[in-house]
Amino acid sequence: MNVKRATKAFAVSVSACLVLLFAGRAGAQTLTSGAVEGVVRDSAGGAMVGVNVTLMGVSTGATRTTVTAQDGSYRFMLVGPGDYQLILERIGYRPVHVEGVAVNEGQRLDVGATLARERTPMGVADVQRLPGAGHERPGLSEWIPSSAFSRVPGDRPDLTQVARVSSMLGPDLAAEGLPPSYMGLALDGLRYEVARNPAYPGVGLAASLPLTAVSFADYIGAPVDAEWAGSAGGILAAHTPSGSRSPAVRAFGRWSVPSLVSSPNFDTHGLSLNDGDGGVLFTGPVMRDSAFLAIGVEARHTERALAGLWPQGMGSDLLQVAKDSFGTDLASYTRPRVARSEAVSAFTRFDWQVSADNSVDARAVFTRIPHADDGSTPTVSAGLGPTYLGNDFVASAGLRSVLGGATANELRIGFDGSTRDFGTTDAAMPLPLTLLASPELGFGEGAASQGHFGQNTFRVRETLLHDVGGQHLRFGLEGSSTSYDQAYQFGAAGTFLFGSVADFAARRGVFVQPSSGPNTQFSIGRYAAFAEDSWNPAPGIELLFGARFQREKLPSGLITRDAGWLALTGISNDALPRTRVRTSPRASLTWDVENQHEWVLRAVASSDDDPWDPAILGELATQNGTIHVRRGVGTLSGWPALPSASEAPNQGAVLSVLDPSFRPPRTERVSGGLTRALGRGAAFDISATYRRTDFLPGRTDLNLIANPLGSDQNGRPLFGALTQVGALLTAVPGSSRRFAAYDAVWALQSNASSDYWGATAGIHGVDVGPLQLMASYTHSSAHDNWPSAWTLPSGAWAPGLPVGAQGPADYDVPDRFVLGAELHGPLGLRLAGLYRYRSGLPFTPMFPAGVDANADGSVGNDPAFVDAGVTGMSDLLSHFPCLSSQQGQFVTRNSCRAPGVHSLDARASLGLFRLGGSQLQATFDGVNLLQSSTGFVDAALLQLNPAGSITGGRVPYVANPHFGASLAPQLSGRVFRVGLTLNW
Amino acid sequence: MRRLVVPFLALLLGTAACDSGTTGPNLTVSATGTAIGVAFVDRNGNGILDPTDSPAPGIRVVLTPRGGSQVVTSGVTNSVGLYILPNVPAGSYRISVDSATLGDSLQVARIDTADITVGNRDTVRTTIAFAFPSVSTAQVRLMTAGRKVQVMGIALNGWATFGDSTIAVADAGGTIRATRVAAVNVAAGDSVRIAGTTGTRDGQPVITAASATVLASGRALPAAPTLTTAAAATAGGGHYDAALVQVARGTILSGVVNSAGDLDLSVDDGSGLLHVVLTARAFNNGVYTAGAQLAATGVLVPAAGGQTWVLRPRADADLQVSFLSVTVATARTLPVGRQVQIVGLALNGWATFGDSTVHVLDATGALRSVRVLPASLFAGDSIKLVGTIASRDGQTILSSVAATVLAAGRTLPDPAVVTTAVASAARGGKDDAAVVKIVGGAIKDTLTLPNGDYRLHVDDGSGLLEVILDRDLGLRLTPFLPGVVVDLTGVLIPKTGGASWQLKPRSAQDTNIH
Repeated sequence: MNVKRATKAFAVSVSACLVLLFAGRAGAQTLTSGAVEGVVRDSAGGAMVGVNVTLMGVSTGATRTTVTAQDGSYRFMLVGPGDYQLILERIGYRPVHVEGVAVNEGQRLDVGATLARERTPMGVADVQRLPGAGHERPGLSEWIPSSAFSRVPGDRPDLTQVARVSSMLGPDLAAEGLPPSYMGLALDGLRYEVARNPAYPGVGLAASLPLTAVSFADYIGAPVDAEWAGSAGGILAAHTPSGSRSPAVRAFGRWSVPSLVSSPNFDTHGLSLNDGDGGVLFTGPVMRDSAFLAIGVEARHTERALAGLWPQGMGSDLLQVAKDSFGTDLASYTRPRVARSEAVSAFTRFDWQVSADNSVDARAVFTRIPHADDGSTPTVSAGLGPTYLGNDFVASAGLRSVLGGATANELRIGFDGSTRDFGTTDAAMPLPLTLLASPELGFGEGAASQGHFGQNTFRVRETLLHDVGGQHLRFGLEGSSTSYDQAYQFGAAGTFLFGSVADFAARRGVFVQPSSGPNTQFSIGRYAAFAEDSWNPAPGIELLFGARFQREKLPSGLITRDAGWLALTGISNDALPRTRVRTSPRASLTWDVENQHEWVLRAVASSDDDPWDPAILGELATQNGTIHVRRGVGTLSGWPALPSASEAPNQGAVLSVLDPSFRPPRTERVSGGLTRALGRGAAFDISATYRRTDFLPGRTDLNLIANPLGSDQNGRPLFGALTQVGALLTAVPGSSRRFAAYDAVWALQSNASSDYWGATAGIHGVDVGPLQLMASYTHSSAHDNWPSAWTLPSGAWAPGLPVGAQGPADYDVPDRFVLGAELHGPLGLRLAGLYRYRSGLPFTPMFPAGVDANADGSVGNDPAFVDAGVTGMSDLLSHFPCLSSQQGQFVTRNSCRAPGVHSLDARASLGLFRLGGSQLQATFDGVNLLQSSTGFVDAALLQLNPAGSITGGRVPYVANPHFGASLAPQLSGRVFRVGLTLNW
Repeated sequence: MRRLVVPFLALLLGTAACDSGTTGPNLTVSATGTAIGVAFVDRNGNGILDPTDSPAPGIRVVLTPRGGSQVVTSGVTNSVGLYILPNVPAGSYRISVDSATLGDSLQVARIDTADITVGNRDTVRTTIAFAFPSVSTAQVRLMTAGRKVQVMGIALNGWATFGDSTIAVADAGGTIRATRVAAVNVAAGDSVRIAGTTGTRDGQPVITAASATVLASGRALPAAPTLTTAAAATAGGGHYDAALVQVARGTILSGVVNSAGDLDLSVDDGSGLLHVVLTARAFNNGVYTAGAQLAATGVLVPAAGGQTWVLRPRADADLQVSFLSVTVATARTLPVGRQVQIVGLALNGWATFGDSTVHVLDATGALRSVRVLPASLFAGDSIKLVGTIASRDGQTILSSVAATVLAAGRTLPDPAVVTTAVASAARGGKDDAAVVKIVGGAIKDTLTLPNGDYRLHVDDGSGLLEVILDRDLGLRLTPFLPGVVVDLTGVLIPKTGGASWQLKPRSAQDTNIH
């Protein structure tokens, strides 16, 4: 990182500072370059023609010049990011130097100036500082410098940290009530994809970018720039630092003595966490005043304490039974765990100003994640293991040319590749995945939890800028080809479900195992053309219209036809549209009141389509009827050995079929905002967004019997023959199936929609004495009929609630608040803290894992019926208003909510020695200081009474005494650590 | 909110704000197929539609989901038993029959196949076989006449055994008789299904107008209880009607051929009379003669009128005939014509005299047997003779004799030495057929008889005795000249007319010339 810029960024960004900006201006910059423009006036306010304007790079010394037009305006297009100064001269007028012109990618600076008609000695100039609000980017954007998310300790030192200082992002980068997989990622203006496990949309999403490679990041909720392809959840754009004029080396290292861990929620005795990271960043010239290089390496090792997989005080019976009956020691599941991750990364960037009008650049980031273990619990997915190895490589190169005063061109090519290899945490305990319903405990992982996901993309984009008659035009072409490689076997190791410890001891339960399926490789080609026009109909007002025309070419011959299904239903599973063309219009309006940069109003509207999700194509290619599911209900005599074919017979093939009307989600969005500059870099922002996303993917079981066979005592329709196995409730295998030769047959349909509105208010850069403050609050509401956000394509356990049940979105977080403060004291003392609050996530009171109350062959889609007569329900009714208000009815979707989550991280640092440029600091970190709720609770309201039996359609339900209890496995301990930080 | 937003977007973007629909038509399985089939009454119970089976019209055929009982669709069979269920939503179903549309007595025997999967534009065929209710023989006996039923059990006789198309069937709980059974190749011991109508014949329940299907062959027959002849004649009070029973030992009192040509034996073991009826031509009738002891196994069939039962053995193997075992002394007191059995020692071999006569000796005396069936027996063998008491030349004999050697080479008692006069009178008849010896008799004259035998008159001084040297003995006759004194041993045989006896030596050893 450029030392000077970094220093300034630190100074400007107070503690965990956050800059909210809205802009609607475009035309002279691209996503990878900025622009500087303005109007030059004389003292009387008249436009000055013929003023020589020179833009000089502070670190590079390179200059570009232009002359103001008839209306006094000038414009520098495609300005590479960096610090500049501007010199405005005309004979007879006193020259003006404007300093502090910091240009970032995709941003445009409006630098106006006034020249006084005054005779002055040669060489004497006015020196002006650029006033407050400088950075502008089309669309609604949250601009976050890297310092903002690195100055307070956290447990994940990667780009995910941006979520900590934003009130608009969830901790896993979920935004606007959508899952994290709907967030687009970009580096230096080019999109990139991280290979991921479709079962876990958020895992590893942003882990690939080291902080040394990020100079700042943007959360772009409403991308209006036509160069952006849309993402329903917005785009998180990271930007790399550039080289410098003089050589500089910055090294940093942080090491913590084994940390102290404490938690009121679990026993942390004996836990020892080791934590550290370090890196070196070199910046300097390759050719004097024209070519610059930045190169850095970074390594990190992080550890994080988590509660035991089994909540404290639970599972002692299970421990005993496992030991006595099966000779298996499961004590490790009661002990707290350490989630551990390591990463090594390298970053380089090369910028070369070939001539005044031509420049080239190249950037590359490589990250290897040799080990990552998110400490996750066994899940009903029986899917991939919770550990993974990752490799990510993102590179791009660009050529920028100014072709005369009114035309500029940028050509950019890029490559990104990513792999994720998932595995199990503990090969020494090859127990099959085993789940208990009451108490809800699980252990084992199964031997076949490996999975491999890879993707490689080549991208090229050509953008042409042209100014004519006050119209700023932009045209471009873009193409990419992505190859995907997916090898996974969801649940193929088999999953055991037992109702209770007694059932486990008696080996009576349910077993499910899909057979191994094929792996798949395929490519998607994407092509786009875009056009945009912006102009100023009046001073201070700018209008922008743009549109993007995109075409996707899907692979042919990807899916093997299931002839049996075609003969039975007339529905072909191999029908896949070859191409799809879509149009994404965008528009924005900016009103800089009186052109003073004090009050700026903005409105943005856009309509965008997401790209095809490779997870859907992968599911279609692998679940092609060759995977068969076997299910056993009753005695499973062999545990931990898998049951025999007679105990768990084959129930038929699982198949996924694409609905002919399927299309990727489309998002329409309007947002508006107001920024009030408060001077000295401080600002107050308020903004509001409404988003509507249609065509979200859902799944329907085509092989479910057409009409219910009956109902239970609550009127719940039963789609199969219900049978009770101890404390489990399930369908007699096959009884809910329409076609006997098939298990679940999923129709993938784009039949869900999501609505979101949110309003954010924030201040940043506010100084109160030695205290610097930022605060941001977002109030929002997300509703959808889309329970599929977290469901899996395994056929083993799916889907969620039927599409059509409206309710709060699974990711609906009504309130989010962030408060950051930093205090600078004497002797280099610095105290920084970050407090966050978010509402808990909504949930639907249902049943424990493995209970299929409506006998449709799927679990997790059965809302509970609130019956005050059920044993134990009266206690819950008095504690949970969301239940008492729904007495005598089925609960509505996501009608209950987990308690809110408070968190506080803090750091105190004290300068110890200063030797030249080196600073050794003692650092005291406190992470996760507030041990509040996790935001996830036990959603199982009803359990089976194992002593009862189904009589006359009446199911013996009892209330779960643990309903609403915080899920302890998600709890992370409070960490105190002492370390040394060296900045050299 | 969306109502406001869309017009705003349209205004701002100058587009029609895209299509307003949020969802396309959802993919559903709308395919249909046809289920057709035929329903028939499976008369022979083989589950397969045969020309002899009849259609089952008016039956409601119902399609239900495999896991449930809700009717998806249904149809009624037409006059030829055909049903067609068009436009069945594709899926897997179970085919069943609305029992309300079945008559009293029909039952579903087999649906091939009941679990069907109907595919798109597919036609799935099913055959539904109906059958009479499967009941036990005990239930049949309690049912009113006219009900259509089927029973499964072991056939006690073959279809042709009694020549009247009746089959008796036994199951675990009893027996029943099927009458008017359609011709079928059933043998005793076959596991059979009998379908027919309940009825009464001769006062006893039967299944009539029946058809039979062999399910398996060679099964074990039920054990036949042993009854007295009197108990068999009443079938144990009806309890053993149509059952396989046996009578241990009765005496055939008489045998007559009845109007059907069958041999009707009257048998009595002392408890009372039982008719044992042997189907014409199926038995070796000659054996079953009056006086014989009979052990018989057979099916108890009510006699016309229904008051009594007759026993119907199925083949010779069901019958064991035996005879009265008597001593020679007793035999001599019995009337002519009785068949008896005598055990004793053979006094001569079967071929000794070339005329199939054998003389037998027991502790009570000796008896002559004639017309002995060829047998390899020799003097001194212990033998059993079965034959008929007869009279020849004034002496009791056994005629038409079957001889069995019980043991060979026993020692004969030394013959009694008598005078020639005594021998000629056989000691007043007491030594008829016995072996005696004369000593010191002088040959008075000799004569070669026309049949080749050599006749001597011998006298020891007490009187003349006629001696016949059978030519079959192969003796050298030259020494036997008048005047020669001899010792002779032989069997005493009455001369024609019975007034005196002649002595027949049996071999050269029986002669001794002084």
